[in-house]
Formats: sequence, C-alpha cells, structure tokens
Amino acid sequence: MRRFVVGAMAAACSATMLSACSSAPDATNGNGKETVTITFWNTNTASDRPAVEQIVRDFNDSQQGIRVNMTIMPYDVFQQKILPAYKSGSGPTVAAFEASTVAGYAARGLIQQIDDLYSPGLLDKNAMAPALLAPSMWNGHTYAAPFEAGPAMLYYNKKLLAKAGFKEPATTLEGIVEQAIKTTRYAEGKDQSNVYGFPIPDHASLPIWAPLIWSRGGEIVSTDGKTSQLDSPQTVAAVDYWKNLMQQQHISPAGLAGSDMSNLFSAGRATFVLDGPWSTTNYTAAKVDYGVMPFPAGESGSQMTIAAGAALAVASRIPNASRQAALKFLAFWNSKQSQVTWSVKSSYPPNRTDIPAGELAANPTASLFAAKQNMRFFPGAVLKANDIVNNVFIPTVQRIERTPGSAADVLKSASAALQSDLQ
Amino acid sequence: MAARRLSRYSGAQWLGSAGLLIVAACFLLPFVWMLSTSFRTQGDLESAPTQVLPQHFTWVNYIHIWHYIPLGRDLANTVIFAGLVTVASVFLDALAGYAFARYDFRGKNVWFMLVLLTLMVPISITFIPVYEFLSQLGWLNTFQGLIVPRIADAFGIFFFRQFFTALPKELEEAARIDGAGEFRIFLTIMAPLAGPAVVTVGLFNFIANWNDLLWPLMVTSDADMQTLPASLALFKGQHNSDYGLLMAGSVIALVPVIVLFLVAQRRFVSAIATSGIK
Amino acid sequence: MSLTVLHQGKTGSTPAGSPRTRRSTRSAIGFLTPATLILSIFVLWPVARSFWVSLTNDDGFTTPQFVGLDNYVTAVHNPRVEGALIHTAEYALVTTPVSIALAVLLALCLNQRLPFRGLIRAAVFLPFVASLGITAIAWTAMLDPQIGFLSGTLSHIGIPLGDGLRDPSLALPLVMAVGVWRNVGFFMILYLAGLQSIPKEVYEAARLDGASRTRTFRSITWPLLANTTMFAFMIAVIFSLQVFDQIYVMTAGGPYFKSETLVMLIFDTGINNYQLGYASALSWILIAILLVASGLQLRLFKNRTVQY
Repeated sequence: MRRFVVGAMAAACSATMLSACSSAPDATNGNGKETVTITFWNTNTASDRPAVEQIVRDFNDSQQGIRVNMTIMPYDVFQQKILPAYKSGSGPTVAAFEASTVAGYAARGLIQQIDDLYSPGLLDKNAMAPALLAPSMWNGHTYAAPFEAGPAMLYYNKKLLAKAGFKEPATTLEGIVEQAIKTTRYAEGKDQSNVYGFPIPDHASLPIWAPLIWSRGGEIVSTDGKTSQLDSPQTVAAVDYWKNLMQQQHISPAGLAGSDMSNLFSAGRATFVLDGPWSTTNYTAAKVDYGVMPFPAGESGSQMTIAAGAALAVASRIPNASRQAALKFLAFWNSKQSQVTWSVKSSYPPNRTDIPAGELAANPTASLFAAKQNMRFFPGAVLKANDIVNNVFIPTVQRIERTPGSAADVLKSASAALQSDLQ
Repeated sequence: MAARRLSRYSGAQWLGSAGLLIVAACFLLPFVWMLSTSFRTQGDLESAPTQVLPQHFTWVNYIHIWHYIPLGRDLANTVIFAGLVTVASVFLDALAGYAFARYDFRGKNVWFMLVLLTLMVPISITFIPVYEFLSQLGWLNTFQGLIVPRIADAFGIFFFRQFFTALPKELEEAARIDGAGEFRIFLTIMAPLAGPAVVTVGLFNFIANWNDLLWPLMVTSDADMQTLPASLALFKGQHNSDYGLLMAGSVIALVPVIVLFLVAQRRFVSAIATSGIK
Repeated sequence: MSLTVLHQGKTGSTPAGSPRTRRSTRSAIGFLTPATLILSIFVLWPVARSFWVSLTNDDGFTTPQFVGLDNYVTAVHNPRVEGALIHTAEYALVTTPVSIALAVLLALCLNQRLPFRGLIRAAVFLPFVASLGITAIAWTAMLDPQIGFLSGTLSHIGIPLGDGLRDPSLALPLVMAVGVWRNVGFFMILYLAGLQSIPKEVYEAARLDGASRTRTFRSITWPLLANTTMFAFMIAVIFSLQVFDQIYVMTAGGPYFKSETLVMLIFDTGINNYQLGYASALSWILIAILLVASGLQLRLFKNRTVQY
C-alpha cells in the first residue's frame, strides 16, 4: 500500500514540476536544509527493546535535520550480516557492537576513530563510567561510545537460605560458598528435583567463569590484552577451587547455558546465581522471593564482576554529514536525560556516573544495579574477542568441568591457544 | 457411516494400528508440547515444567504475540515470498527438467551434473558473495532480492526430469509432425500431464521456503519486509526466551504448512509414485 | 524406466549435426537457460569463486594474498577439523541406515489396510513439514535435564538421560535422533510410493508359489525397491552431510566441539570469525567429500537398479 502511494506521488510529481520533486517533503526539514538519515543496527531484541526504541524516538523528535533509522535483529544475524554489509557499502552508519569486539572492527578499518566525540558540545568524558570506556579504545584512540553495560550481581533466594537457617546472605565470597554448599540438595540421578547452591553457566551466557577466576586472584588475559595468564598458578588454583565445588559439592550441574541457570533460579531450585539486570522481570514474574547484592571479593582476590554490554561505533568511509549526525546521536544516547530514560526503562545502570540515585527511584532494579561496584568486560579490547571466548575459553571451561583431577594440564594447552589468538 | 467402515477391519489390523498409533504419538510429541506451551504463561511453565499440560490454561500468549510481532504483515510477506518462489520455481524447474528428459545434446551430462552439484552446496559457503551481489544490485530488503535467487532448485529439476523421462516418447512426435513449436508442445501437451509432479515439487518448495529462517533474515532487515520465522527469531532474546509466546508464534507459523500438507497429502504419495523416483 | 542418474536419455538415433539434432539442441538450451542462469549466478559462481578464495588468506577486509594450499594444510593438521569430520561421518553413517530402515518398516506397515492409516502417515511425515528451527527449540526444552518434561518422564520409567545435550558423549546421539525423527517421514513417503508402483501381479505369482512373507520381501519387494533405496540413500547422505539447523539450535556444536559437524565449523569459521579463506577451504573439503560419496553410491547402485 505504502509503496503504491509513493509511486502515485512520484508520478504526479513528474507530471507537474520535476525540479520540485528532488526536494520532496520528506527529504528536507522546515528550513529547507537536507535531512541526514543515519542507519542504526543493534541486537536489543529482548526486554530492553522498548527502552532503545524510546530513546531513538526522543532523538528523532529533538532533531531538525537528522533521522535515525533503526533495525533490531538477533545477535547471530547481526554477526552474520555486518561484515558483508560493510564490504558492500550497505552497512549501518552506527552499530552497537558487543563491547569486547570493538577493537577487532577498529583494526579491520570497518569503524572509524571518534576521539572528537569527547569535545565540548558533545560529550564529557569525565562523566562516563571508566569501566565502559576501556573496551572502546584501540591504539590509544576512541572507536566507540558506551551503549549499554549490565553488571552481573548475585541474586539470592531468601526462602532457600532461610530453610537452611541463614537469615542473610554472607558478605564474603567464602561465606557465600559455604551457604551454597549447605543449601545444595543433591542426589545422584535426581536431576529433576535437586536444589543447587550456585549454578554456574559455561556457555550462551555472560562469561561467569571470568569473575569466578578473578574473585580468587586468577586472571585470564593481562590487563594490557597482550599475554595469556590462563595457566598462572593463581588461575589454576581458582579454577580448581570452583571445579571441585561443582564436582564434589554439586553446587552446580555441568554444562549449563545461561537460560538453564535462569530456569533453575526461577523454579526456586537455585540459592545463588550471578546474573544481569535483565533477569529481574523473569524472576519477579516467577514469584521467587529474591534479593540482589554485589558479587563479593574472595580472600585472595579483589571485588570485581563481569559486565555484559555493547558500544556504539561509527562506520568508516561515510560522508562527513553522516559522521557529524552519528556523533550527535552518540552524544544524545549518553546524555543525562537519555541515560535516566534508559536506566528507568531497561533496568540497566546508567552509563554516566553523575546521575543522582534519586533520578532512578522509579525503577528499584536500576538503582540496585547502579550500586558502586567494580566491573570489567571480558575479554576486553582484543582483536579476536569472539574466537577467544567461543573457541578457547568456553570449550576449555566445559572440558574442565568434565575432567577429574587438577585443571592444570587443560589450562596449559588452552593458554597456548589463547596466546596465539592474542598475537 | 464411519463406524461401518471401521468395522470392516480385523482384530489383527486393530492391534497393528494400536501399535502404530503409539509410534505416531512419539512423532507428534514435540508438537503436543508446543501447543500446550503456547497456552501456558512463563510462570506456569517454570513452576511445573515436567507437566506436559498447562496448569492454568490461558489464551494470553496468542493475544500478546500481536503486540510483539506484526503478524498480519509477516504472514503476508511469508505468503508472497514462499508463494511466488514456488510458482516461479515450479515453472523453471519443469522447463529445465523437461529439457534434460526429452532432448539429446552435447554436454548434457556435465550440465546435469552441475545442476546436481548445487544440491550439495550448503548456504554458509555462498552467503557472503551472494549478499554482496544483492547489495550491489540494490536488492537487499526487496521482494525481488528475496525471491529471484530462489526460483530454481536442483531438487525440482531432478524430480521433473524423472517425471518427464517416464512419459512415452510418442506424445510429442505426433505434434512435431504437425509442425508445432517445441515450447508449444511443452505447454499444451507435456505440462498438462505433469500435475502430480507440480504438486510434489510445489509442496516441497513451499514448505522449504515457508520454514526458511536464515535466508530471509539475511536479505531483509526492515521490519516491513520480515517473514514470520524471521520475526520469531527476533523474539528469542539473547538472555531469555519466553517459551509461551515463542510457541504461540510458532504454532501460528506451523498451521498454514500443516493445513497445506494435509490437503495435498493424498496426491503426494501417488505423485511420487508416478514419477521416476520409486 | 531405470533411475540411472547420468547415462540416460539417449533418445533418437539421428546423426550428430543433422537438422533434427541442431533444432533439439537449440530448444534444450532455451528450456534450460532460465534455471541455469539463476543457479549459476547464485550458487555455482559463488562456489567457484570460493575455490579461489580458499587459496588466499581473505579475512573479510584486508586485500587477500595468495597463499597456495596453506589453508588446506592448516585444515588437515587441525584437531578441530578432524573432530568435525569424524562427527560428520558418524552422523551420516548412523542416521542414514537408521532413517531408511525405520522408513522401510513404517512404509511396509502403513501400506497395509489399517484403521487410522492416513492419520498415522500424516503424524510421521509432520516433522518434515515443520520448521526444524522451531521444533529443535521444543526438543531442547523437552530434553532439559533439570526441567525438561521428556527427560523427567524417561527417568521415571528408568531411562535416565543424565546431562542430556550437555553431556559431551550424548550431545551428538541426541542430535542424530532428532535428525532421524525429522527425516523418517520423508523417506517413508518415498518407500510408500515405491511399494505402490510394484505391480500387484508380482505378489500374486509369489502367493501362488507359496512364498513366505519374509521370503516375498527379500526376493521380491526389496529388490524391486532398489530405485527408491538408491534415491533415498543419496538424499539421506546429502541431508546428513549438510546437517545444520538442529545442531545450531540444540548444541551449537558443543560441549567443547563434541557435536560439531563440518557445516557447523564452516559457519563458525567463515561467518563468526571472518576467516573466509580458511572457511572456503573447509567448504571445498566438504564438496569433495560429497562428490566422492555420491560417486561411490552411483557406482554401488549402478548394477542394482531394476526395470519392470
């Protein structure tokens, strides 16, 4: 129908005055200036979708000469399309990349340096959460702006804790582990009714094993992203610690996906889970009596959690007008007002540190997740982030979960593979 | 009437049928689960996942799905896409199959081998170059981009070749002596006989394209152009899936192909039987 | 009426170059052009191009450099490729005979006069009609060790599935089972059609000779189904060498690549990691395997096709 109307309009135009057609109503704004349309791809298909749509609408309403044309697609499809799209020139002006993959796209020259995003009139770098800036840097330059970042926090089932005689969750990691062991109800072959103290997913989820390793003083990739530390003694010890808890204390089944973990918690069969803000809706709907707290530090590590998130990057080789429009959109996304909207609507914490807690009061989950805590992306700004996560880290962890004895040998060969991916 | 028909079976036949009905139930199991889940809320499912039947029956998923997925538009797109591909592909496949079956020419075997080769190529090999090409043509997000690359397929050509090979040679000889053109012979003499093959190839084509997920997801990105399976995929969030809603959408996507199959089923077996594949 | 795939259709005996043959060739080309164009542009050309890409280090963006057979050498020495090849072979070697045996059995049963025959046939064929992307989601949910209704029911009746799809040694068998579930109906229909085209008189004669049922099947039915069997085997092998959808949905090749097949690996290498050169080399390894497998089958079945 719409196609037909446009066709009819074009025919009518050509019949009367050709010149007027080239500046048809939707190609200009009131001032007669050309409208710049920028395309925006993201993968927010889940509960955060309305929040993204709202802010894009707000942006389009606030702008005279810029329109953002958004396409939301599943993550897999995004991943499959983005490269051929850029190569053939039909790629999006702005795309929300998984934070750790920004460096890879920057190094390939698919996205451009945007150091000038942090300039007066656009965005103040000091207002942004530092953890969110790290993965957007490549070779000392900014290649992306924060889009969203959800830290994992510890959800606990109050009922299961009370049943085992605990009034409150412990405040140290070792205390939590103790409670996880005490609340586990495990019998061989009774998978349908077992209660697990701390289900740990290993794939199709946040990389939960990363904060588990960090919490015990281990490390996977050095902070400069250059060397593998997967086989360091601390890492081996940390991995063995959690692996033994799974294999001997049965705090978690092996091989869980993120959704399996969520299902267990929803069904009231998990005491603790490390999960992001997006899950609160489900857990509330499932009528679980739960609380949320930051993931505490272990005795040999420092407080640190994993963040899932994405960053907004601008395509290379686009006209300057599009680039300027894209920067405006990036700045708008991270403006105070948009970030309040974003946080309240999506339950994600804001990307900025200067938003008073009171502004988020409308959404208690958002306020909870905005609590001060240390967070990191995994694996961070490295070239082959996807390969490292999917083809090295996940299979290694899965193998270890199934291997009796120490993980040292598996970690040693995995470390070599990781190192070759970092070169 | 039906009772009288049923009473004609012997005890052994009833026994055999009972055994086979159990087998049939196993084949239907996932469909029962899907249907049942589509009438459950996520909470209901999570609180009693091992029950196959809903604890509380609800229509809510079938109502809510309209808010998330533009079902009408998606269904229309899917019908246009799968329907046009089927019509065009049956025609092109029949032409090609006919040529392989009824004509003799140099290089025929190599040519046919190349056609069969396309049957063996998984889409992950061709995807990137095809996407780039469609993009250069400006065909991304268009019906022609969705449809044109799909309107010939090796299986259909193979099937029509088998079918036309089985027809007696005398059919077109008489027409040729009368001086009819080759295309006319095809259209007026051979094509009308090809009904069963048309049904079979058409049905296979329609089912394959209706169910296809990767192809429409790759060629389209506008919400206006999406097909139903593609929209359903959008639904599977990265972190959570709402099974009730997902299954409600899935049931809606399944119904048309199932109905079509049930309608065509009877002709289907005989169509394959009359073709060369037997 | 034999189904020899290649050497067929030697029609007239007109000498080459005669007006008749020239006219015939011209018409044939006319009929073949539209379909050939489409297949060439959208399948053959990309595949041919991918052979060139397989000889380069194309990573999707920087200008590709010619690297000769490096990608093939890397592939041959890679344990993950070896694993994928083994899984693909296992999948083909198990699902092909199992699907076909089940299909023959069901077709024989459902070719008899039985109450609810149409219903049962439809039920068995239904999985082939439905989108595997969707039904695989249902299977995954039903097989979930902790909350799946099927694994729960099975463990009640003494068939525990343990960790189900998460168990490295069970993932591939379960994925195979779903593959068989989906395709059996298709092969059953082929065999039903095959059974229906066997002339009644043949059985009549066997009955008069007093042949037993198994004997009739072994010496009459099965040999006369040779054409169907050959076609079914070829399709089954193509299906199984290209298996993707249910693996993608159910295990994504995991745990630790234990259910990864060649197409899965190609997909991951080329599309997730943009190693286009390497992925193309893997694709050509797959094409070579498919060609050899098809050629072997043609040879194997060549002398067994029947005419009646």
